[in-house]
Amino acid sequence: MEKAALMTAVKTSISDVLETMFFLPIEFSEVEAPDDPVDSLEKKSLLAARISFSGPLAGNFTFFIPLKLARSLTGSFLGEEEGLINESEITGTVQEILNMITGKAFSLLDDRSIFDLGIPMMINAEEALFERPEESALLFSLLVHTVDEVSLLKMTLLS
Amino acid sequence: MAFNVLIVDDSLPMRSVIRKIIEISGFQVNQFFEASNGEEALVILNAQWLDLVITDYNMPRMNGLELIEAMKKEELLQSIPVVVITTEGSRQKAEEFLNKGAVGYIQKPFTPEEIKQKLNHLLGEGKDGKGGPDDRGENLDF
Repeated sequence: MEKAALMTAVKTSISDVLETMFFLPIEFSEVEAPDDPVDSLEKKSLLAARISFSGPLAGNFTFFIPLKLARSLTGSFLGEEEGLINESEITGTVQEILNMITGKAFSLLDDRSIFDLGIPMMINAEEALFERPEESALLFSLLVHTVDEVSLLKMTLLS
Repeated sequence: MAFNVLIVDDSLPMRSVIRKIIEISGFQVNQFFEASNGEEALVILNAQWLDLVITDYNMPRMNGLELIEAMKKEELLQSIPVVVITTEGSRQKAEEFLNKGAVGYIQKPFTPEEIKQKLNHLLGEGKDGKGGPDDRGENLDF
């Protein structure tokens, strides 16, 4: 599997999800050293969700998103004022965003194969940001820029 | 005529969004029911009269496909139309949903218009005035 093909599928998927369902314009930049923590992220207010997958590719995607942006997206998604949104609605929305990004990316990458997706789970963002995958794993990272926030998708592929 | 609709998804926000889309699309819904997995859905299905089930595929405990299979085994449930809304995008998976008895398949991410158009066929709000629960056995082109 080529990195370029995966990156293209993931970028298209993120654009589709965030622009179709959240009306959020975005830009991307790839991380040069994906196993290093990313300086541009505001680490103290990050939420993180992870989804595992198996099939032609196995591994996991971890999505890091600033709480402020997650709250705003949840309000947009549910059509509710941000002040009325509770924590479970925010985490549910973040999990659903990751679920949609992952499913859509794999259908773009290869719609003839079946990828089994796990259930998205919230995890500790700081620990996940600094954790190192096993040596044989491939790690790609993609920064997602919105007007004044930066999110991160870490993609770990197991060999 | 108003319908009873069951929305099955382990994501609370997604259930809310689907429900709101149906509401703002002008469908006459008598009552919404919600479940977070197939097991919970079966409990509701055995206690209430439902006209339509909208289900996610990937859920803990009992997924959408297992829910359809369970419904097909029950005489009172097997004719209720089921629409699958899921992130699963493979052609094989889509065919599997339809082969198991789903009448429709919508891939996430979706627009409100996609949901509206596809439910028009089932809930009888189509432009041609046809459709509705009596058409539930029709194999729709989703």
